[in-house]
Amino acid sequence: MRAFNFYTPKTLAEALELLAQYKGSATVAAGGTDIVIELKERRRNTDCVISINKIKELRYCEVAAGQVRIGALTTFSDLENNPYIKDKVKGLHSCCAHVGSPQIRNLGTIGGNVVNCSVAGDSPTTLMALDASVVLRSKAGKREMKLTDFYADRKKTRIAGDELLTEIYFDAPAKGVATATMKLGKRKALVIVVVGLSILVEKDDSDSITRAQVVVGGVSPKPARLPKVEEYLIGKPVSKNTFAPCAGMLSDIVGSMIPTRASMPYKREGVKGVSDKTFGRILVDFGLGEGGC
Amino acid sequence: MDKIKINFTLNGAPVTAETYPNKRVVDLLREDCECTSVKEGCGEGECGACTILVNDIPVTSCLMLAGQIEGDSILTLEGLAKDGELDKLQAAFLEAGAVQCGYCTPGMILSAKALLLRNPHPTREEIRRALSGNLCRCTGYTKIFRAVDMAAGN
Amino acid sequence: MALRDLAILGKSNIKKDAYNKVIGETKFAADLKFDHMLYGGVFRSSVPHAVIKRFDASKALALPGVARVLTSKDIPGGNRIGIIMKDEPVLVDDKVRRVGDAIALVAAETPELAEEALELMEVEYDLLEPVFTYEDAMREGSPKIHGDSNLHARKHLERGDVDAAFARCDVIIEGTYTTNMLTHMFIEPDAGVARVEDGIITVYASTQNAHFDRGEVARTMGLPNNKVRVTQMATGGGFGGKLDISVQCHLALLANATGRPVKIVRSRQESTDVSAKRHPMIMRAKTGATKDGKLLAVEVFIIGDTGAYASYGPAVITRAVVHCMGPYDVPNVRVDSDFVYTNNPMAGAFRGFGVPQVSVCHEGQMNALAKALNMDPIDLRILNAQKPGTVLATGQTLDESVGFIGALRAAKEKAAEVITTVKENQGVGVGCMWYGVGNTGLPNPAAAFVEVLPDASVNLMVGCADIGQGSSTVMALIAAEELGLSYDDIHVTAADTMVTPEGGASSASRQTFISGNATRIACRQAKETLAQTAANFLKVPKEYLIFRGRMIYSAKDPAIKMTYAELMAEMKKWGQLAVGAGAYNPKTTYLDAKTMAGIPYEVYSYGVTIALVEVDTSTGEVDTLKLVSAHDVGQAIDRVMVEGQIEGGMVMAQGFVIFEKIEHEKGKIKNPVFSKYLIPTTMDVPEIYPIIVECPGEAGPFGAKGVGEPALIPGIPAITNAVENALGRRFFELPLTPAEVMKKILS
Repeated sequence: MRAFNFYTPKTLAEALELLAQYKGSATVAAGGTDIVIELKERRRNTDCVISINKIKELRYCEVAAGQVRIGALTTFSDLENNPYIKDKVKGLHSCCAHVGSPQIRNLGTIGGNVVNCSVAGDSPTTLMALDASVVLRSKAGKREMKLTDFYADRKKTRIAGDELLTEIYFDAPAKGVATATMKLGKRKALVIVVVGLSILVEKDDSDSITRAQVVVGGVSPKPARLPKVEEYLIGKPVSKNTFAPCAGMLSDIVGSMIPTRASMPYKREGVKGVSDKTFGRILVDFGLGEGGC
Repeated sequence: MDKIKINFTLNGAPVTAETYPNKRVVDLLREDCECTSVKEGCGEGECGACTILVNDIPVTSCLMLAGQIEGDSILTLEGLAKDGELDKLQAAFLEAGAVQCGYCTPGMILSAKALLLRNPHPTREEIRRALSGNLCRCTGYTKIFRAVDMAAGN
Repeated sequence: MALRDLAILGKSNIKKDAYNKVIGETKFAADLKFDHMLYGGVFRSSVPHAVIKRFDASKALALPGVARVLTSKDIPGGNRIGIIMKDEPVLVDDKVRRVGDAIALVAAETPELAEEALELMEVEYDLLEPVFTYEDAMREGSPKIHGDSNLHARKHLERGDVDAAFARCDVIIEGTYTTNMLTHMFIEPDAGVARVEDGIITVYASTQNAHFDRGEVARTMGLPNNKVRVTQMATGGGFGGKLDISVQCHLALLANATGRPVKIVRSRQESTDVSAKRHPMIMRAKTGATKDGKLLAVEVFIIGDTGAYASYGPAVITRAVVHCMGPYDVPNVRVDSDFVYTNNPMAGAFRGFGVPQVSVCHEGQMNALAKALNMDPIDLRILNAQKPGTVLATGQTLDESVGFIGALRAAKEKAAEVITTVKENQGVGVGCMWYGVGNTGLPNPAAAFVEVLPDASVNLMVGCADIGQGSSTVMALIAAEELGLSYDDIHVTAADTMVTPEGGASSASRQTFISGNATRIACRQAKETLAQTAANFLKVPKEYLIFRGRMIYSAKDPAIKMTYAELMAEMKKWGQLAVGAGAYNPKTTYLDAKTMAGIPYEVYSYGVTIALVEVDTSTGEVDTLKLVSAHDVGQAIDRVMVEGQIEGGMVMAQGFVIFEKIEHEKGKIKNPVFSKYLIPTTMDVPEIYPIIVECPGEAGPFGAKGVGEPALIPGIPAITNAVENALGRRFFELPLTPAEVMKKILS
């Protein structure tokens, strides 16, 4: 690891001051689970590391005014153990409970995961299915944007060098909303995502689908919303029969997203199984099935 | 590069360490604090050999910068036995034959300790999950599960 | 009922090394610290085949804190090492043969400075055409990696009239099987420290064979063997991957050149890049039998890639050839095998030395045969099983300690108990193996020193490296049994070349058998003096004396007795010392160069695994649910330790079949780290039912045989066969990753 200056601000204001001072040349370490490896392996060089893990004010998960607001430094373990998330946002709960290992879930933060934007990142897929927004703060002020807009280009986000991602928020799932997330990996723990799928479905009192947000991860530089699948679902009844064709649609979409990649044939097939299982969980969440399409 | 001063509690005793900010916690503990039970197996948070407890929570110390543990309470395997008396987990690891090469053992015991601290009688599934970030290549994990069961009085 | 009347063996004990390991006090090589210690690093080639045109370390040397840079010119002794053939340079002198060849060494004040110095070193290559496949290696006019041929080894084994026998067969099964390159992924990366004191170079290392290391370091340094001391530190797993020289010679060179202690700790990536790998093999087999299932003939052709250096390649090819027909009585056998050099990563020893690979082949054939004949796979194996009296393909007649049928029956019985239902998408499979204990058709002795001290405690000194498998515990138990003392009375010092005699490698499942026999012989020698003294005191012929439970008594009249404390007082009174030096070399012969006839091993271990798996046909994921594994170990020295070997072996087998494969391209490993080379986690492991089978036979110490590698092997074909059974499709290449399983489902 090369030499660098090191700061541990205790408050958000201190952190923003430091970021302004270094004019974008500082590296922010939240949980550190990605950054420390990059520094150790000399893949990242920096004059300054600002470790924000002691900023207590950025570690929270609260529900107010119909929104779920999660502080950037909330760890995956925090969310895994949060009764509200466990009960009401099953898609996010399942996602957080399956990140890396217990040790990594204890260190890794949702904000860090979102900013890092790796293909294998677990939470962006789920948060995008929740149509989440992010709050970015700098000494100069505050910006908010949808996660879909936050991910601008390949491996790039719209965060500025002097900004800190401080919060992620999304609409609290109302009655009639179910969420589910699944990932396909090569083993059962410490898995890197091969294909990830996250779904939000909203239905009205007559069990007709009024909103659908379907996001696939692991097949493009950033998770992708799938409007074709979403449009298909709108207006249809919540049922096994409605969901069953999604597997084939997803398979075609994945095949067309990565036509030349060696892993394509498997991902194209595997996503069918993931689709059946994820929609199966939606049915379970609605109390309409035992899982599986 | 200037040294930084870090205050923390190590195995129950207050410590002030002066070290370079580009040290990781695993380096700080091994090189500056003589806690060589903290092992490095991969340097990428995958094997769990460097697991320590920070405020009773298991983390991989190879993914933390030294400065990040300011004010925290750290437990390494050296601090688990009290006055020469083995922790139940240590005794159970001996009794069950859960130790082969021993390189994963410190991290494994500490992950198990964190589990038992919050869940004194875990199910087999909970044990598997709690230890899923600790790789062992010798034992096939089976006797390790048994040891945790024994320590929990299951 | 126990086979043997034993006071100590066959129970369960707390391993000698375990206490310090659970309190965090055990020192591994990377934990050592000396005053004024420097940190070493190795500059390695990034290309697979090249001549070095220019190497420049001037910028590195200019870096403050860099003590020395060494190249091949700085080696005082010989510059070739290797376990069997001396074909690997300590530091490249003539040319680079693989990605990761060591070109230069650096010693610096801190690990960070050493790393920085390596980044400042410059090299220019004249690239040579590389060779990556068997076909390329054997092609006429291909670039040669060593000397004038890329053929590393060629073997031929023949017994009976194979062609005539095939003509008589009612059924013939043919298949070609492929296994890939694997890596050990011991959790402790290679590490060591060297220092020079009073003209002696001491190397503290993570190793499976301190005495081999001593010879290599001495030759590299141009020193007599007794000026080099290699001390094995606690070793965090080996599985064959710590048999080759890793840091030892580099450390000795740096410590000698700087006059200061030097430490090298490899990163995970460096460790995986340059340690030996499991040989990838292609095995083409033809198996013939009568309609009743009796095997008449087996013919096998095996291709192996040993990479840039021989390492244990010659042992792997020999063992693969001898074992490739499986644990069966086959009257007509013909095997041919070619191993080649390439510019791929070096392949060498990995738990089983080629037998895991050939087990995929012989069990694939047997399972296909059972299916073709509509026979129960276990019955087919019982029909053909080796037993006392069987003549092997090498011409050796098995006389005792053949527990294969016992293991088959035990596994079948347990499986019937624990695998009661097989649901949809589940499958059951069986796999068997045999494993010759010790090196193949070669002398491989081990020795032990023992001294019974005046208070009846014992110092036992053995060369064999305890890498966590528990050899020191095994030796202590054998000594306690032989001497009539208790386990706690025995202190074991292991693998320190200034203290312990030669033990040979902790490999080939040989230490329990060979060092165990040496220990027993040493104890018997010490006992001679003890018995004579006791006989004089008790006034009974020494032949009548029994040593047991810290007492010495007459077999004729147990009332005539004395305690060990009384005996040791007598020994002191008469000026007697109870010491012993034992050595044991297994009773084998060299194998005939043309036919491989001879006695390759003194004893064989047997194992049978029955697996239950479930396949998720929508994702291709394989879940290993249950593994029943029965192992003929002759005599269990310690039951929990045998179970530990079986459980660990079974999970390694699961990795072999489901997850593991080294991906390499143009000689470079693409997945050298744990995040990319996946081994089983706690979430993956099945329920394991280890079964210990004991059988008559006295070649080993109290009848014991090795289990370290046998514990792995049968799980591999069993899990493979279970997946085949679940899907009704055959697999000819491992691993069965979700992608491969899915491909098969769709085909």
